[in-house]
Amino acid sequence: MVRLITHNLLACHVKGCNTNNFPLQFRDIQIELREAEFNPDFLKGFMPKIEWKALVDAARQLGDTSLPLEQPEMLDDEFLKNLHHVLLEVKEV
Amino acid sequence: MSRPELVAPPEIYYGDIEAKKYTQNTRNQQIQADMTYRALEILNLPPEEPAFLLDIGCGSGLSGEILDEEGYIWTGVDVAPSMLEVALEREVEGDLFLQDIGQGFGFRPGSFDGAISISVLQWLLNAETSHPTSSPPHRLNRFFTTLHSALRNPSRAVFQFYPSSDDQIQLITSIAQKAGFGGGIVVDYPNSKKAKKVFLCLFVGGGGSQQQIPKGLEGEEEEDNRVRFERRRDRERGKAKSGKRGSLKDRDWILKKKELYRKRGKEDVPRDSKYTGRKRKAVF
Ligand SMILES: C[S@@+](CC[C@H](N)C(=O)[O-])C[C@H]1O[C@@H](n2cnc3c(N)ncnc32)[C@H](O)[C@@H]1O
Repeated sequence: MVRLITHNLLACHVKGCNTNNFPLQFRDIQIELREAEFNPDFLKGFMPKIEWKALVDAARQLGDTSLPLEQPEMLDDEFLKNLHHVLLEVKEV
Repeated sequence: MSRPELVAPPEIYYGDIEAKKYTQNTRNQQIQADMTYRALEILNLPPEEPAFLLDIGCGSGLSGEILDEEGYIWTGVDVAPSMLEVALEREVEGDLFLQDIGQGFGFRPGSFDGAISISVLQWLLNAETSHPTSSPPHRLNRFFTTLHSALRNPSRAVFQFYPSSDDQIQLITSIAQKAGFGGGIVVDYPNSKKAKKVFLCLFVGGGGSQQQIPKGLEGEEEEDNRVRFERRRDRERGKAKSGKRGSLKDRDWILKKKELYRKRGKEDVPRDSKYTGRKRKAVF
């Protein structure tokens, strides 16, 4: 049960696993949606930590195409709402 | 009575029955909550800035619930499946991982704005695990090294723990230092047998004046209770004003949550009845 915020920060750390160790691949994935409080400041602060491509790919694999392929420079409300949903409200189970 | 960490490996000691007992004990809830608040105080995060935290040895979520309450976003790891099961039942907000911290973390560098760990570290001082891998120093080393890298610079990690000797404290701090941490030990109420609490406060980066080891709390236990109580009350008052949810999971709160889960299409949400949200006797 992880949200994409955590998935995006996880690399495989099994000893000897150095190639292709990020991002972890989904297997038999199911998702659950869970409402969370929207907090634009948190998202803005978190932006620099995100591996953008991995996040967009993960979201697409789970059927969410709301994020642009390139990390945008302008953080408008609509973008932040989408990011909020992808990072904090979609849960892999 | 001997300390739990001397009885059995954690994932066995905290089996189904003990996990429930541990979590339902109201006195224990209070103690873990108080220590979590104090750890957050020592963590000293910039106010009003939302942070992403790691709860190390999160167990059934007694510490994590406080993080929820205070509005933090968090991820927890624990080695005991039964404890995590209870955390899931209690619907904590954080992500939960089944992991032995003695084998280190796999988080990308700089992932977390801080870490807390309440009543866990003493378990790493014991060699006994159900899959014996290596010695305590080896496990501690792997733990601190990977934790150091998972934290952002600058940041802090605060551990409340139960050392059984000064040698243990010495061992832990020296391994943490080798892993790159600054910091040291904070002792609250060192002269009180009952209220004494030991915290390890570790720093990543920030050097010099910015990162100073906070002072332990002094004074007598009674005073301690009053002070804590007032702090708690202030917090609650602040919360009422800011409209954040209170700490008590009262009937209204439960009904609201249930409604939310039904809306999300979750199955098996218990129906509402006159028993909803009533105090229950603990039954084992
Ligand atoms: C006293 S409980 C504290 C739980 C929670 N932090 C709280 O405040 O209620 C100690 C927890 O540490 C966990 N633990 C012990 N050794 C561990 C290890 N090697 N890796 C991960 N968790 C561990 C146990 O499973 C247990 O849930």
